[in-house]
Amino acid sequence: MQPTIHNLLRLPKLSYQKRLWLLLLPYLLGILLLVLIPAAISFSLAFFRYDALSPPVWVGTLNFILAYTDELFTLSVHNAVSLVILPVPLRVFGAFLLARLLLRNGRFLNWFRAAVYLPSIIPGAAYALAWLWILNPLFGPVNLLLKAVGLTAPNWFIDPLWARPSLILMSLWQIGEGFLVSLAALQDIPADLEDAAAMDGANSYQMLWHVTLPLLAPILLLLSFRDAVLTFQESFTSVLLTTGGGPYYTTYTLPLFIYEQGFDLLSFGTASAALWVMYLLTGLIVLFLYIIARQWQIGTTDETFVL
Amino acid sequence: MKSKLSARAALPNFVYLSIAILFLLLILVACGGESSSQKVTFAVFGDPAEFTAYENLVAAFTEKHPEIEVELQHIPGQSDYRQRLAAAFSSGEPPDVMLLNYRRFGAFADQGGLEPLGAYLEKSNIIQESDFFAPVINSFYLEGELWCIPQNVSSLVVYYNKDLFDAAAVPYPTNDWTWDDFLAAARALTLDNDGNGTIDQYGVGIEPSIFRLAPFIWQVGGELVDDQEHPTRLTIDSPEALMAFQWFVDLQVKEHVAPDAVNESAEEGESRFLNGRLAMYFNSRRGVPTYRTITDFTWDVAPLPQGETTASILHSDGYCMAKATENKDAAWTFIEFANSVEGQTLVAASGRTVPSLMSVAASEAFLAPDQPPANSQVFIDTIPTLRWVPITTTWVGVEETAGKEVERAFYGQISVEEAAATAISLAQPYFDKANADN
Repeated sequence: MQPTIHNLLRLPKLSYQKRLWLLLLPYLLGILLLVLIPAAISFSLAFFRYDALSPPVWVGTLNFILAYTDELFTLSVHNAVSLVILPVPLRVFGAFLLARLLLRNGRFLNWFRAAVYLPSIIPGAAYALAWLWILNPLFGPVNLLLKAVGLTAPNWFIDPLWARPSLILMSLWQIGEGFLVSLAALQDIPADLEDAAAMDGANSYQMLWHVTLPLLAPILLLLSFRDAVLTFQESFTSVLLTTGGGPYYTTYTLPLFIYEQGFDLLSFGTASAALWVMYLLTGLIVLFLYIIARQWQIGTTDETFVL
Repeated sequence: MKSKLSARAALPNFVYLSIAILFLLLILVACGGESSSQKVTFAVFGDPAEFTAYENLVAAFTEKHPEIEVELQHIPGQSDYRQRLAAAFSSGEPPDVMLLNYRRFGAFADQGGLEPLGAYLEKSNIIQESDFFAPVINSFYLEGELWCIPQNVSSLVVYYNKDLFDAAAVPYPTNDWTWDDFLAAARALTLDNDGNGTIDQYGVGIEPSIFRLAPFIWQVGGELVDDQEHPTRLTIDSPEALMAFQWFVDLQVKEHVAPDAVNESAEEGESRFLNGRLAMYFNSRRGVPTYRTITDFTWDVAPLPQGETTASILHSDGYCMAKATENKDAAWTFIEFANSVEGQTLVAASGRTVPSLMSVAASEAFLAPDQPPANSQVFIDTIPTLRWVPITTTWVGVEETAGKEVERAFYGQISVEEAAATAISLAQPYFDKANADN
């Protein structure tokens, strides 16, 4: 018998199921300690006036009313939602198209794949600062290029009209995870299917639209869910560092509202209330995507659909 | 199928090992973080050049009090700093001692986050309230308590690049220069050097905020708020205030002597000043350690140009103690040392502060005849004309909200009348909140 730790410690032999649970245990603990418990605390905080310095004071639903009647809150919800609706389909579909493009063998294929993934591993703060330079209205490379070819160069982050598109543009390059998942999924599609379609005389566009895309739809749907949640909640770093919510509140999003209520104004109660509104909205966005998917019957008839 | 089986068989060791490691780590984390009773954490904000001053202060303190260990925590930006402190307070582990601006300590003091220091100061054999300049001690009183010990009594001044003045043959600012003198200089110093239609050198750099605008409002008889002690609303819509506001905004909108929104976002005014492409930059004494690193040109300071009267605005940071501090005596010993003649002399020597102790302010350590700015006396001479913003628990909110409107007006997006009206209505909830709390 091999002298493994298992044998040395004479641990009892567990069933496969139990071992899986053990394997999951660290993550479940993490979710409990870092997500579920804080969420429960923040939910109860939403009913108190709490400034982190003195004990919380019960105020009932006042925080929800305060948040709801605050013009900035409504505006921040609107901004946050509009910063999800456009980029998510673009990001998911872009990741898919790139994966399709970089599926077959070719020269430098691995280099291209690495290049697509690379922006996703840059830390959020560094990424945002890099884009501040890239889109600098006077000295940034994008505007220098635009001016060199005689086009009008927008003022990007400081123009009320362009600030949101700038943030969207910025988010389009961090699609590494979606790209990898799409690539793996594409590689799983049996070559027979495409061969058969080719035999029937389908061109590459038809092949993509009628064969590949439907097969990948469940995966793309899942990616959209994930991306919507991620974009909605984690756009915070990039917004805070590039526009700070400006110019004049045009990119003032819900996470920023929550942050300012909490750490600027020490109204942790209102911040918690707004946080719960954000949870609910995230749920609604996912539900919305799910309903669209059902309408199109994406994935629902497919065995591989997982939720 | 075979490979799957072997994978299953190989699992347990890894599983048990990883779980064992995880719990070990958790236990280690839980046990860590205990501090010794004689340790004092001290949080400061500021540029790297300013930070050196506090490192020297801590080093000198450690030499004198080896039994107390001071751990310095440094956060660069002032608003990031406040948010970091808010997070630290909410986690129940605030720094023992922290440097806070007089506009910002109110929120922390009000709810019992800070330890009042009046009683400590009274008992001290080293420093007394009467050693300090009066306005600056007053600015750290809230609801009858003294909350922090001020380290400095700075004012808003004009930093100017002497080389650019020489090149444009503009006379240096005098101690009694007026708005018109200032504007004339600004015009002459705003230059399109290569004649390509874009401005390469600006005359003025000033942050479009309520805090920068305020002294100009006071100089023509306007007021920021209806009642300095118990403010209930902003009053920047009075004819006097609007006149000053319009003059302030015209520097950019009409005269174009200050960078517009695009140029400001491309490169900030302070960076332009440091690079020798902006002639007059408005800042408090805080900028000095950084400006002393300038080697390409000579610079000096001038008082604010005056309107109908002279007025400038107080900038001050105090040493505050967290109520949650375990070792209050050690924390006070450090605060006391930092604000003793010895401690203030050390920080003043870095250029960072206008010392709040009258004796140190009159000393060579501050006036530093061999180092720029040559005219440091300006800071002392302005003290009698200093005014300050109201000390309330929600003042930061007022400044931030109203500041956004000042900014819009400054960049020509709305009129000053509209900006004033919007600022007043958007800032109102903060006044109401402060008054409801009391």
